Amino acid sequence: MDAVMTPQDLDSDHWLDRTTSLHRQLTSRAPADAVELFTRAACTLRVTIERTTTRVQTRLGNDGGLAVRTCRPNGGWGFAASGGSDAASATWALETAFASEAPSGSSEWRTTPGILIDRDADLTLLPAEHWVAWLSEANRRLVGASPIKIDAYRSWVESALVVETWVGANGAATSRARVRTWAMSLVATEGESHRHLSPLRAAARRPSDLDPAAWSAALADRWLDSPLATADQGRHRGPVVFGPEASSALIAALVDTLAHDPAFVGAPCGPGFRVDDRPGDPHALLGGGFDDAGFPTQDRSVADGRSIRHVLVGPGHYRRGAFRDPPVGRHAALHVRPPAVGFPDPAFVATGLILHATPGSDWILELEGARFAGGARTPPLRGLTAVEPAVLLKRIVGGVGPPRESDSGVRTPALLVSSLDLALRSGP
Amino acid sequence: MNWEIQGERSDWIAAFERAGRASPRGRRLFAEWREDLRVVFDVPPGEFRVTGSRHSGLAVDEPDGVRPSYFLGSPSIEDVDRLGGQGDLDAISKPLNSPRRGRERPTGDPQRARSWLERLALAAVRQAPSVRLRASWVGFSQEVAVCRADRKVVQDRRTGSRARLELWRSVSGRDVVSVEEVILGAEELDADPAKIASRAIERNFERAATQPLPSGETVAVFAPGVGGALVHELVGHALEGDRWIAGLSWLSRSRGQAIAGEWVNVIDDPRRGRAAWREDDEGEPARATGLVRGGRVEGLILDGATAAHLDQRSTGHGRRSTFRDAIHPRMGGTFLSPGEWSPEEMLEGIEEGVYIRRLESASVDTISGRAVFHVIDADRIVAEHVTYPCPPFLICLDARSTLASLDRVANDLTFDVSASSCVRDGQPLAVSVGAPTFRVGLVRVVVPHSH
Repeated sequence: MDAVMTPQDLDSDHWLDRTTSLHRQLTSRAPADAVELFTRAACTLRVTIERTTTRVQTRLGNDGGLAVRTCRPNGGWGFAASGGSDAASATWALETAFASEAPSGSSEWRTTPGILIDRDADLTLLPAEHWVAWLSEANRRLVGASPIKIDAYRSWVESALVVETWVGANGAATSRARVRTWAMSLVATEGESHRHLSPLRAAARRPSDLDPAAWSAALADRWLDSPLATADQGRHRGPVVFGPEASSALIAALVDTLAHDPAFVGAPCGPGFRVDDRPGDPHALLGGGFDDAGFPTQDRSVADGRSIRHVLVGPGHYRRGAFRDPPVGRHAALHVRPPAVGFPDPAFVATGLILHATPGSDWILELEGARFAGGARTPPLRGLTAVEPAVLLKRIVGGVGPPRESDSGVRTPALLVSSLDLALRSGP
Repeated sequence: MNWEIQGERSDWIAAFERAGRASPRGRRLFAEWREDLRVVFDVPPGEFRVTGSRHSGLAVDEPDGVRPSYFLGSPSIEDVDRLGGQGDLDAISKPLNSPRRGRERPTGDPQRARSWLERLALAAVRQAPSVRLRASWVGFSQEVAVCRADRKVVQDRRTGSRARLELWRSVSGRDVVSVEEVILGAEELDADPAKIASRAIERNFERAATQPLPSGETVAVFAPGVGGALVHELVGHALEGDRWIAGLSWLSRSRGQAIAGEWVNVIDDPRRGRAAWREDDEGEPARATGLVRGGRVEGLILDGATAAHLDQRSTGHGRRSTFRDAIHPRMGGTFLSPGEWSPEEMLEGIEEGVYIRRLESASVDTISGRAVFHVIDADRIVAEHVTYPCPPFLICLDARSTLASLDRVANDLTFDVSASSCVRDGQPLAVSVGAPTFRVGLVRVVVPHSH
């Protein structure tokens, strides 16, 4: 497989020099320790196959930008981001950050000297032809693996080479370079009751990890005829098994809720809520040796099955959603390792989760799945319930089956929640 | 805000036009300049977070799909000249980060936004000292240019600002939540934010004593503007050209068929609303498009590709989130036209029902036409009167039965009482929705059991 490009302009050392030079220029206009600079450059390839036209569309491009944080001795700080990576862009961001500086607040970045480097060994992007073949094969397997009539309506793969560089004061800097690939298929199914549209997603650290066979295996774990239901099917009061995909969304939401609030430390949790953040895991989709404010990362136990041990705030936990966003405390690579438990009978098995969260209120969970009892399963059902996050936390009692990594970087098996009271709905 | 085209920008546009004219037939060039401002004020602790950003970019679209499309962030005039002169797309397959135009400020003035939010928060805290709040301001300004071999450069500018106030007040150990949103035109900026704070506080106190609502089928009246989200989700998405052509819409086989009473008219007009556009991202003029007229499915939301597929004209709805993204047919300002009833007549004859004041999140399946909405503010209707508030609940809707039972539409059309983005295929877009007060005879309320 030939690489489509290994652009010289995305050489990490070049970007480290360039960002350092830009930072030097900025600090001629402001105190050196009052300015932090983050740059990002990316080369992206996206291949899309539309089912209706069977047309292959390829988009290839380069983009990048920078972000400046400023800090004044009185504690006020500012943030601004700009596309481009030249001196004019950096100056604009500096001036805008100073102009928008908030009168209060806090922010921090590393000031200890040293350059931290985190670069993938292989930084090549595979060519469009590879991904066209991959998508065709994945869709063929997807259709073959499904017990019901299914069409992949729109499928895409996006692969990006990203170089991120951070420079603080006193020679503190970091350099990160990696290739990541995401895939999605929007799947239309004709199931037992009606047609339904649902997305399937995957992500990988290396292109070779994105396996069409695994893609279709993920499908086999799901029942895609999951209705947005209308007819009342009574209640399920009892154990609920969240499949790996639903568990991944649930765990990420719970940890995000806890992440910013030290008041949660010591809060009780169920024995199945054993969660670590392992940014240092060499196989993790996200993470790495340092965070997005230049601090070295370390693995942390978020919860040990008895209580919340750490919240993910402060140095080592700063993450930027994009270069346009200021860094905030967030998880990098969550691993859930609950004690293994048996599959309960009866149980509601949730393969999909939609979470309606209003701050300060109960969460409303919409669970897609089916009820299992005595070896038989019902047709697809939707279970609805309202629950306080703190209560939910205590009811996670164990794990069922092997772990799987989601496209958001959460690695978890199916999780057993001891009891929920679900209002069940089905299609007409 | 400074979005005037400056000398440098004019040079850029001229280079852009030269490149467009030199392009092979069918190729389309798209350029974008965008600025965003977000200000969040949390009390406690009385802390601001201000985020300003800007970007520019160029896309080279090959609508035939045979040749690859390209994009490039922060292009310079030289990049565009090189592109046009050589017609050589390899020229931009390298990251180019050249100087760009003058020093524009992000959309809206951060100082003014902060001052406005401070006044808003202060007014709320004065009225209810124990309240916790988040006041936020989001503004954007986007300028685009589109060029093809056979056309002059088409330019368009889209701007919008909105503010949101969320209040939490602890009552008997639980949080009472209320939310107010406002689109910020010049009038609202000059208006006293205390009025918005008063509305939020007043509603928060009203919601302190909620009474449970039973699950089951009932009649729902949607407050003015609120039901616009319903129309957007149930009708608008189902009539987006690409979904409709692919058969992924519950309306795919319904063109010309009656789906609602003759008083139901749904229109999408991208030229009105909070983030309007006059030219779309393919350079086509935006048109008001009748989606449902007299209760019958009439038109579709089309971009160039879907219009060509149907041998029709584009309706000017081709949009992309950024220059990096592909164009899809997208809604702009979707609304239910006003009817002839008065708002008071909506309650006539209702023995039991709900009066819905705020919808937040939704999940929708366009194939089946089924949707679930999260209702975070509603009152119960008893014997033709709006009575006590209810805790949050879900409504499960079937588009066919919802529209078939939509039996009254009032004359009080209102836009954008809640201003969220529409996300499609991972692309967020600021859109408007509108509706008068209207009544639906059949919604299923699901009140999840609280743990």
